[in-house]
Amino acid sequence: MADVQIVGLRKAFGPTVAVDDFTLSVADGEFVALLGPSGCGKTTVMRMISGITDADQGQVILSGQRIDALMPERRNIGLVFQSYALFPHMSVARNVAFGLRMRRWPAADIAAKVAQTLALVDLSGHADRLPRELSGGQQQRVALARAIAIEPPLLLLDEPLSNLDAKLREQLRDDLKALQRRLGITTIHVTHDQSEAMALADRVVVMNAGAIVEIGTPRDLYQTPRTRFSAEFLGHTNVIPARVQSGRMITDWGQFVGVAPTGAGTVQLSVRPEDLGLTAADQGAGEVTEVTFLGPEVEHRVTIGGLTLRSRSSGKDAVVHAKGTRVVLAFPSDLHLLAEWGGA
Amino acid sequence: MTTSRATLWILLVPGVGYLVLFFGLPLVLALLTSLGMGTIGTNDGFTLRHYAELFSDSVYRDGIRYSLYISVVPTLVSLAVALPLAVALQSTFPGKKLFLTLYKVPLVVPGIVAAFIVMILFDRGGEMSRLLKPLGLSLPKLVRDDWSLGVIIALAWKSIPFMTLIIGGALASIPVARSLGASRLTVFWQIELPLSLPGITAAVLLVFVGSTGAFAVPSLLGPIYPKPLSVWMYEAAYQKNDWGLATAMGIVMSAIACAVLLAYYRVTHGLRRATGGEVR
Repeated sequence: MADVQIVGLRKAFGPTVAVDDFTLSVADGEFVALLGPSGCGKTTVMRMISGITDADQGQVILSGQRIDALMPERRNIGLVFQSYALFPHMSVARNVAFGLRMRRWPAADIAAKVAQTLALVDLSGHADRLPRELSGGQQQRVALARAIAIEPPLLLLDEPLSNLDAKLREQLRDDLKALQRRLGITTIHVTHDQSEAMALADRVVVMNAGAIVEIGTPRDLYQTPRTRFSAEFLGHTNVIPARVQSGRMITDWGQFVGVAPTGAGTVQLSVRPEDLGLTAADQGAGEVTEVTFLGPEVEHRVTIGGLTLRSRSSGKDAVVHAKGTRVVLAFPSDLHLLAEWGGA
Repeated sequence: MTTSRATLWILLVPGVGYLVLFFGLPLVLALLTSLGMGTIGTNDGFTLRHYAELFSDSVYRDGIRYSLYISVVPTLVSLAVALPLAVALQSTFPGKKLFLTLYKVPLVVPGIVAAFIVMILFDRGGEMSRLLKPLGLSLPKLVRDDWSLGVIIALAWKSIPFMTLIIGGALASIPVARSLGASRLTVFWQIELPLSLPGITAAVLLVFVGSTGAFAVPSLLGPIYPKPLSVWMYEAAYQKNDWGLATAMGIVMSAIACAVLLAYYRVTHGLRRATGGEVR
């Protein structure tokens, strides 16, 4: 059992509060992604969990034991950095063996474990190479092997894929996920890439300005985000205000879009571009202002009621409307309302 | 093909020409003079007389030994202080900014001023002994003493910030090592030290060579006897007008410096090999 409880973590650098009141619990074997823009404090959280940075306040409890006061070398946490941080003067095998040597494993056991771990990351033939003789993807796999060789109860990954090119990133992402599932190792992954977070994580923690904005499964966060910030950070969305009039939601341009779940006032709808349909109509309230062909999808930008909205349709049969076409919008039957729509 | 070769030569002229003109030529002239075929001083044909005199006269032999002593010991003392200091400066502590400014002060203080500082502070009847007197303590002899402690203090004081700067720049911290279970000390021995070896090598060599030719500090703070080769060289050239002997001393000093550099390179090269380090 290696569950993690993080309670009220706080860190300030001078007058700047980098992280405030960060509370999160991660279940045994769970893969959690900390997602946020750069400077949101996600890396600071990771550094505090690992002990590289001291927390000003708060607790980190790993498998029921407080570790926040321990030196980094006593926390038994596997770390992987964006920059790989391999020891440049040691061979791949010695890099992977480093943590085991520190734990004073017998030489024979170290050799066996190194071989086993290198096989796990598909680098068996590279044991005697120096890091600089490897490609970026291989170096990152060495860093991963070094981190998991010590069999840590918790694995922390700080933007591990960000230095790699797109194709390799996707492949390594799949490998990483498979490896994590196979080893069942509790993992916290820091990233600013929403697709990476969604593809990898069981749960995503959306952060902004040093605080948690929202926590949820990738599907929940994407389809039913509570806040405007997470709706916009996880992919694209159209935030459309609507008035509630006698139980009906009406947009600014007077279109009835659905039955209101709540009383009166104004609501904010979050409609993903792929859920927003377009139909050409001479008297339509909207006008296509831009058409972009993205490969798998076609994106139309539509101005309507003072807003610019995106609509995407996919596949070969997607209807393409010319610029200047008058259109009406088709909303999905299951509309999502944002609970918090201030801020970004 | 020929044009590109010509271009190459033309491009090489400023750099190589500079080296030849201001380094190679004086060295060759000094070598010739020391062999009795110089353009300055007497010219009476090829002779090894100056070298013979240098190595047979015990005064000069002691001079060579003393020159080595006052370059090796201050270098070791500087290294012993600068290395831990460079490591300590990696971490943050209150007042670090001020310290980072202050510790570099000796860099801009000329050697002769450093010598006078040491003299004023540590000579018999200097500031330190006055301060210590009421406490019933007294300093050992530090100026013109047999062990040249004053010389060592002044030279080390001058080179510590220089060494700290170079080593600090070469120190690579890899925070992940701690999380893998390495203590602060282990990280230093197994990661930081091997990785910073090129920087340490450079710093040691530069400080060593600098101290070999030190003139002002040993002449002010050193014992009456022995004197370093640099001081004998001055006396030979300007008081005895014996340029042959002076240049022979210069060549020997350069040769010693080169020999030490080569030996040091060999040793650190082997060390890097042993730690599996890459050779830069």
